[in-house]
Amino acid sequence: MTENKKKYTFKEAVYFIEILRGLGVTIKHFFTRRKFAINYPEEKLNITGNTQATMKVMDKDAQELIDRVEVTMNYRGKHALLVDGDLGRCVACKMCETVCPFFAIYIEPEESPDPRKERSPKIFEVDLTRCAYCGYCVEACPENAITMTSFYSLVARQRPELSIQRKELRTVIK
Amino acid sequence: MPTVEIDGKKITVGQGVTVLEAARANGIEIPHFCYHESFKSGGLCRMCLVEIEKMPKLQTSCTTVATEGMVVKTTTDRVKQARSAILEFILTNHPLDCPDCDQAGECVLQEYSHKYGPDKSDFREPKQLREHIQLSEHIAYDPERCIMCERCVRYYRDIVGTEELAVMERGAHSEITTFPGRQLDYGYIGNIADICPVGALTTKDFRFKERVYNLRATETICPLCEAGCTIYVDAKKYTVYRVRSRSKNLTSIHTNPNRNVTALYPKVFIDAILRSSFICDDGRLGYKKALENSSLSGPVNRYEPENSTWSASIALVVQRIKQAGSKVGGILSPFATNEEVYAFLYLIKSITAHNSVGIMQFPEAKEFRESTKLKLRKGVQAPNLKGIEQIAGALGIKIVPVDEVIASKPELLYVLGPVFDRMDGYTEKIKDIQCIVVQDFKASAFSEKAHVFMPGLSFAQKDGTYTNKDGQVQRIRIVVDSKGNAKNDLDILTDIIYNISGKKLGSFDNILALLVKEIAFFNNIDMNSLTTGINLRKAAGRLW
Amino acid sequence: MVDYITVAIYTVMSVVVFVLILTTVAFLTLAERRISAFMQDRLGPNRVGPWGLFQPVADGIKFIMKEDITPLEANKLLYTLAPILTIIPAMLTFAVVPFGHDLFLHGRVINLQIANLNVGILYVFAIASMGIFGIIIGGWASNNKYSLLGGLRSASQFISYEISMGLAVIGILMVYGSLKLNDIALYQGSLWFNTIPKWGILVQPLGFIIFLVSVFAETNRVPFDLPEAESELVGGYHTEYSSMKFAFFFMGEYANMITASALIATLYFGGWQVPYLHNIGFIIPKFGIVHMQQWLVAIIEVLSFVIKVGFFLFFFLWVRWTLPRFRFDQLTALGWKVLIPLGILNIVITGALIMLRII
Ligand code: SF4
Ligand code: SF4
Ligand code: SF4
Ligand code: SF4
Ligand code: FES
Repeated sequence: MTENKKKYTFKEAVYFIEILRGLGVTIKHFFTRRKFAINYPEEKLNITGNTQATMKVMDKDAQELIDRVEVTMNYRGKHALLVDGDLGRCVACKMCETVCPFFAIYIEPEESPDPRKERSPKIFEVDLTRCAYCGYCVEACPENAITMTSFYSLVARQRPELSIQRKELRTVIK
Repeated sequence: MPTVEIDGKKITVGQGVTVLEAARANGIEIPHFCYHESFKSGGLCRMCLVEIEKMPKLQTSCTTVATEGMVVKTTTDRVKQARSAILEFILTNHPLDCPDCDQAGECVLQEYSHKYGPDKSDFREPKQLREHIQLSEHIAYDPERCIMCERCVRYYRDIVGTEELAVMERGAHSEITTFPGRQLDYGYIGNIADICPVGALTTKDFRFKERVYNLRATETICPLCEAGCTIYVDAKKYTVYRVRSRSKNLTSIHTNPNRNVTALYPKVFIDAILRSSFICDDGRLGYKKALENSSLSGPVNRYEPENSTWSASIALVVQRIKQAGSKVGGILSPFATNEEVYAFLYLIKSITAHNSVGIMQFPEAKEFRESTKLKLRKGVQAPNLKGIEQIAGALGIKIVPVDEVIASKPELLYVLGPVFDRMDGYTEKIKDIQCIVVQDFKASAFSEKAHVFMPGLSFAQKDGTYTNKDGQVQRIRIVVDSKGNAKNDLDILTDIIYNISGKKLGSFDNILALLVKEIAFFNNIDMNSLTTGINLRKAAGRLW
Repeated sequence: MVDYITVAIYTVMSVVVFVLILTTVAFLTLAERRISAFMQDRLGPNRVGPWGLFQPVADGIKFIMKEDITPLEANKLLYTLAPILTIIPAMLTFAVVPFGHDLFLHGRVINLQIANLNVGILYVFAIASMGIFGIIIGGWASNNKYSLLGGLRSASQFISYEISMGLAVIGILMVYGSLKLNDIALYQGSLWFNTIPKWGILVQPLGFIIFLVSVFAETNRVPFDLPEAESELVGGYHTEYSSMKFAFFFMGEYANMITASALIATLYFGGWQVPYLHNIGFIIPKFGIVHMQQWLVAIIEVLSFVIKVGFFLFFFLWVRWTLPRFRFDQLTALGWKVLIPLGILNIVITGALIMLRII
C-alpha cells in the first residue's frame, strides 16, 4: 500500500488550489457552452451532411444514392428498396431475410415482370419494431437492392404501422 | 472382373461398369452433369473428363468402360484445367445469378462453379436474355439456365418412352421444347425437375415457395398407393413444402451419405432404381391431400360437446366399447400403418366375438398414359393393403367388405382412418348404429356423422411402417412437428386397449418389435435398415 | 403583555419565509438540473414551460401521482416517520437566520428574522443534528442493506463533521462575542482600520474553509454524498422510498442546502450586510454620506442577503460537477485528522490575535 503511494507536490497535497482550478474549468464550461445536444423535434440532425467524408463507394450509383435517397454509408435508418426506372432491383432472393438476425424481413416472391430476372417480391415487409438496424441485410443483398437511409424519425401509434411494406420502401433512383 | 486404379486406389468392378460409376462407388468424386444412373450415358457435358494412362486425350469417364489395368487420374492439373474450361464454356450464356434462381442451394452447377470453376470469364459479350418456354402447366423452363445435358430428353426417351422433348435450334440458341403440337402430360412430369442438374426446370408448385437451404429433407415413403415409392419430404417447421423423389443424382448439401448406395448394377436392379428415382405426379403434387393435418382443434364428442377433452373422449369410447361387448364392428383403412393395424386388430380380436374386420375399398390407381413405359402406380390406392392381409391372417381375423360389417348391425362401429371420401356412401346406412367412433387425421363427410371423432396425425407427423405390394416393409417418418390438439393414432389405440384390458402395448418401437416377434411375415425385417432409412427386406433379396 | 400586532407580523413573516423556502426548493431542483447540464455542455430539462420553468410543477404532480410503496418487511411507523423527521428540522433551522437589519416601525422594533433567539447558533446546531435521525431511521426502517449502510455512513459522517464545524464556529464566536446570529451579522458591518468591513471571511479565513467543508459534509452534498452514493449504494438511505415520502427526503436535502448557504452567508459574508451601508444610507469613510429611506435600505439588505445565499447555492452545484466523491476512509480521515486539528489551531490563532488586539 505505502509503496504504491504517489508522491504529491505541495500544491497537490494542499488540494485546495487544485480544487480552485477545477472550479475554474467547470465555470468556464458553464459560461461558454458548446452545443452538442439537439432539441429534437424542432431541430434536426443533418445526417447526410456529415457522412460524405467517410463514404466508401460500394455501388456505382453511390453518389447518386447519397444525393437523392439520403443514403449514408455510416448511418443506418429506415430501409429503402431501390428501383431503377419502373422495375425494382430486388429479386426476392431472401438473402436478407435469411441473414437478418432478428427475423425482421418477410418476403414472398412472385414471377418477375422484368425479363432480366426470374423473381420479384410480391410481399416485402420490414418490421421496423424488430429491426435492430444492424445493416446485415444491406451487406447480404446481391443486387444492391436494399439499402438504409438516414430517415430515423420512426414514430407510430401502433406496432403494425411500423411494419413497412414494399410500396413504402420503394425508392426510385433514376 | 477387371481391376482398375483410380487415383492410386485399386478397385475391382463388375463387367461393363464405367470409370465414373466405379469412382463414385468408391467415394471418389468426379464432377458430372449429364450422367445419371437411370439412363444410358450421353457424353454430352464433358464435365467428367479424366486422364487415363496410355490415352493421349482426356476421356469422358461416364462413357469409358473400366477395363483391366486401367490407371485413371482425376486430380491432375490437366483435368482441373479442362473442368475449369468446360465450366467457363457452360457459363457463357448462363446467368449465374444464383440468388435469383430457385435451384440455388441444391444446384450442381452452382456447387461445381464454386469448386472447380474459373474465377473470371474471358467472354466479354453480354449474356443472352431468353424467354421462358411453356412445356407444361406444372413445369417452368428457363432456357437461359439450361446447360443442355439432355437428361430431361433422355428421361422422356428412355424412361417414359413417349419422347416428347427434344433439343431445338443449335449452338447458343439451342433449347429444350416439346415437339410441335405436343405438351407434356401430367403423370410423370415432375421428375424432370428433380433430374435437371440446374435451375432450368422447376416445378411451379414449389417455385419461389421457400429457399431449399431452409428446408429439412426427411426420407419417407409416398403414402398414396401400394407401390411405396421412396421420397424425400422437404419441410420447415409445421409446413411441408415439397415432395421429391430420392433421385440419386443430386450432390447437394443436404443429402444423406447413406443415399450413395451404388448404382453399379443398373441392368439388374433397374426396377428398383426407377422406384427410388422417379415418382408420379400424384405423389409429388398431391402431398397436400395426404400430408397436411387439418384437425387441429382436438376431439369432438357429440354426446357431451362441452366435454370434448382427450381424456373424456377416450374414457367414453372405453365405456361404450365395454357396454357393446362383443357387438363391436371394426372398419379399417388401408392407409393405417402396420403398427396401427396390429393394435386395432388386437383390440377387435380381444373383445368381439366375430373374427372379422371391414376394410375400406380404394380404387385402382389410374394409369397416366397408356404409352408410358414408366408404370409406377400399378396397385390400388391403398399403401398398406398387403400389410393388413398379413397381420390379419396371422391373427386369424377375416377381412370382409365394409357392407358386411354394417349389415351385422353392431352396437358400436369403430372406424380407423384415414377415411378420405371412401365412407361417404355409407352415411345413410349407419343411421341406426348407436355409437360411431371415427379416428382420422382429417374431418370428412363421414366423420361428421360420428358420435366421437378423435383426430390423429397425418403421415408426415408420425412414425410407422408400411408393407408395399412387393412385400417390402418400409418406414415412414416424422417430417413435421404436429401442432394443435391432435394425438398420435397409435397412442389413441394403445390408450383404449390399456383402459379396457390393462395391456400395455407401448409405442411404435415396442409394437414393431411385437410384429417381428409374433408374425412370421415380419420375421426377417432388417431392423437396421429400417432405422437408417432405406426400406429393406432381407428375404426379398433386394437393395431398395 | 402580548403584543398581538407583533405576533401577527411574525406569523405572517414565518409563513412567507416558509413558502419562499419551499418555492426555492422547488426551483432549486430545476436549477440543479439545468446548471448541471450547462456545466456539462448539455441542455437540461427545457420542455415544460419556457426554459423548463414549470418542470418543478410537473415533478410535483408526478411525485403525488406515483404509487406510494412501503416494503413488506419495513417498520411501518418509523418508515413513515423518517421523511417527516428529515424535513421538519431542515425547515426549522431557518428560523434564526436574519435577513435584514431591524426595522423601526411606529415605535416597534421588527427583526427581519423569525426568532431572534439568544442561543442562536446553538439552536442551529441542535436542530440540524436532529435531521440525522430522519436519515438513520429511514435507512434502518426500510429493511434494506443499502439503506442501512447509507444511514450508518450518514451517522458517522455527521458526528465527524459536527465537531469541526463547531470548532470553526467557536472562532467566529470569539471574534464577535455573541451567539445571536443577528448580532454577528450586525457586527460584521463594523470597519477594520476604518476601511474594510469586518466580514467573517476576512477575520476567520481558516475557519471559513473548515466551516465550508464541514457544511458540505453535513448536507450530504458532493463530494461528501456518501450516504446516497448511487454508484455504491443504489439510492442510499432512500432506496426504498417512493412518491411523496421520497419527495420529503429530497426537499429536506435542498432545504438543508438553503439553510447552510444562509449560515455561510451570515457567519462569513456579513449576512444581510452591504459594505458601508447603514440604517441611514451609505457612509463611506473619507467620502461622505448618501442618505436613504429606511425601506430602501431594508430592501437592499434583503436583496444582498438573497444574492449571497443564491451564490452559495450555486456554489454547491458548482462543486458537485467539479469534485468526485471521496472514499469513506478519506472522508473520515479528512474530518478527524485534518479539519479538527485545523479547527483547534484556528481557535489558538484567533485567541492570539484577539489578545494582540488585531481583531
Ligand atoms: S432486397 Fe436484396 S437480398 Fe433482399 S430479397 Fe431483395 S435482392 Fe434479395
Ligand atoms: S438492419 Fe439488421 S435487423 Fe434490420 S432488417 Fe436488416 S438485417 Fe434485419
Ligand atoms: S442454375 Fe444453378 S448455377 Fe445457374 S443460376 Fe441457378 S443456382 Fe445458379
Ligand atoms: S432442362 Fe435441365 S435436364 Fe434438360 S437439358 Fe437443360 S439442364 Fe439438362
Ligand atoms: S457426365 Fe460425362 S459427359 Fe456429361
